[in-house]
Amino acid sequence: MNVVDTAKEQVKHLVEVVTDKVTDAATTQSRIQAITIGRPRADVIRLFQDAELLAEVVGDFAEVHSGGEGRLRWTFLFDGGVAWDCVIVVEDDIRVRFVDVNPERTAELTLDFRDAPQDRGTEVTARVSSPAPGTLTGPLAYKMLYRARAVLLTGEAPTIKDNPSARDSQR
Amino acid sequence: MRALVWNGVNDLAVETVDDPKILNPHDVIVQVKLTTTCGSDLHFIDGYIPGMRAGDVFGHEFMGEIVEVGRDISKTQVGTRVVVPSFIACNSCWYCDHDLYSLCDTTNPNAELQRPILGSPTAGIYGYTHPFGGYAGSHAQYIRVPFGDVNCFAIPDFVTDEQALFMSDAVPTGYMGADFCDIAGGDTVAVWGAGAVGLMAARSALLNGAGRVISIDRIPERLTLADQFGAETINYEEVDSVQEVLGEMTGGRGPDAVIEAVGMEGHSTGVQQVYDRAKQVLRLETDRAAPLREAILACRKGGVVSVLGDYGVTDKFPMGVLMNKGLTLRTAQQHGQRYIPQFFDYVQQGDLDPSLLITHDLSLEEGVRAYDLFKNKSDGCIRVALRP
Repeated sequence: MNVVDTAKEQVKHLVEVVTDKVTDAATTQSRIQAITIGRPRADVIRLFQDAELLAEVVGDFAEVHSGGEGRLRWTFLFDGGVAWDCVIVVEDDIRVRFVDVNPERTAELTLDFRDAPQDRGTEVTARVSSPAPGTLTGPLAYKMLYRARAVLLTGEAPTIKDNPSARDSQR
Repeated sequence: MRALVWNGVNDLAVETVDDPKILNPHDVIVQVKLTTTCGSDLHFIDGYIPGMRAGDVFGHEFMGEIVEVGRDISKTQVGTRVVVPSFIACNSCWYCDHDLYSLCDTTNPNAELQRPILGSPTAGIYGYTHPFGGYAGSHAQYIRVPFGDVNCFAIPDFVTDEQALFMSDAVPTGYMGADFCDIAGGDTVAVWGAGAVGLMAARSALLNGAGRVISIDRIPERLTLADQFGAETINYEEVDSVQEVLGEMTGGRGPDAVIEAVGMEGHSTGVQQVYDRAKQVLRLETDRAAPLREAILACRKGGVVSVLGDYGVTDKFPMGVLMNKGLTLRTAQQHGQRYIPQFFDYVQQGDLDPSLLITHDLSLEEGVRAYDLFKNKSDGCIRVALRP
């Protein structure tokens, strides 16, 4: 291997390392996620309390069922199907919290709602406490908000499930 | 069904894959009648844009016939001949309401993959990497089209399949590039690149009132076609300096607007080409952006730089030139849904014939050969129309 090839391989390796870090950051970090949905606040809040609509929103990565009055059971479709039981806490018309039923655990998803300027609908901010449910952080929280917006605006969530492909790769 | 698939960098094959299904209530299934090669496909074929997965069906510029509709489809009917813009719009979000269809806020199933790269996700597109949605592409016998009522445009009888094909992408991309230039009657517009998009940008600039359009390329048959579309031409390999020639042609002012229709795998001459190629090979930049730099340098003070080429990470972007000359930079992926109906009128009036872009007409089974011809610009290839 000559000097140029060596340098090329080293640079490629560096790029791969950086790419891996970016990918890793995109899939594991917990962050505040925010999105604007062009619907009135009441409609948006209603969606996040409705188990049937929530099931459609998160359908690509979790199942949601009503666990009785004001309760939900989330079952994530990865990591062996991790389940999470939570209570829905609605605080006026500005906040919805999904709080772990077990008071000893701190897992919580908080959604804050406020009117967007210029009649753009509702601003929704998601905050996920960690460590549990660890998978519902960062990208997944954003995916949930994105799909919620799609359901509210169009009546459907974008999907490529069963996308034709020449391989059985994960879609 | 049969489809052209990406199996890896420079590794394509025609294989048998599952037929698409209706997945959402606003979906339709289109039987593809014509689908075409696009220069932006070369970026992931060559490995410069990541995000493809082995087995992906690609292709995003197509027309065909509706064969199945979802339960909430109200306008689109089975049997209708349609052309479909490459970016998928919902017509319900803020961006679609503002005719910014390629920025649609709801049609990217993998928005969370794209957001770390772009800051905000674009609309989904057919057959163009998973961060851009992961949708199956059009180089296939059938394709699923979301929001069929929004994205399927019925083709009038007076428009041929071959004319309609390019209204899916090359024509609206080029037209949008000219639209960005805010052309005042008699303006001079220079267009870098005389591939399909550049040629449609040149033609569109004339349709929008430009007094003079100058196409810049090095491939003789492309420059000949630019001439047929009404442009003057510069073969940059036959002149010492494109800047000097443009200066001479415009009395030293420079073009009122410039359109860049080349993208990340641009070609140039001299030391700059060697420098960019070396850095691209080493992955120290993804782009060879010489035509973009040249366009910015050539534009008259206070003019518009309209960028249509696909870019990744560009090295030596001349921000200082842009700032000091007071240039306006405009760019986007194409908003086809905004423009398509008027293209039918242009064809009917005899002002536009995109079918001239087809240099090769092949079966889908010859898809691998089609991309070899297209990539290497061999046998005078500008665009290949594939028939599934």
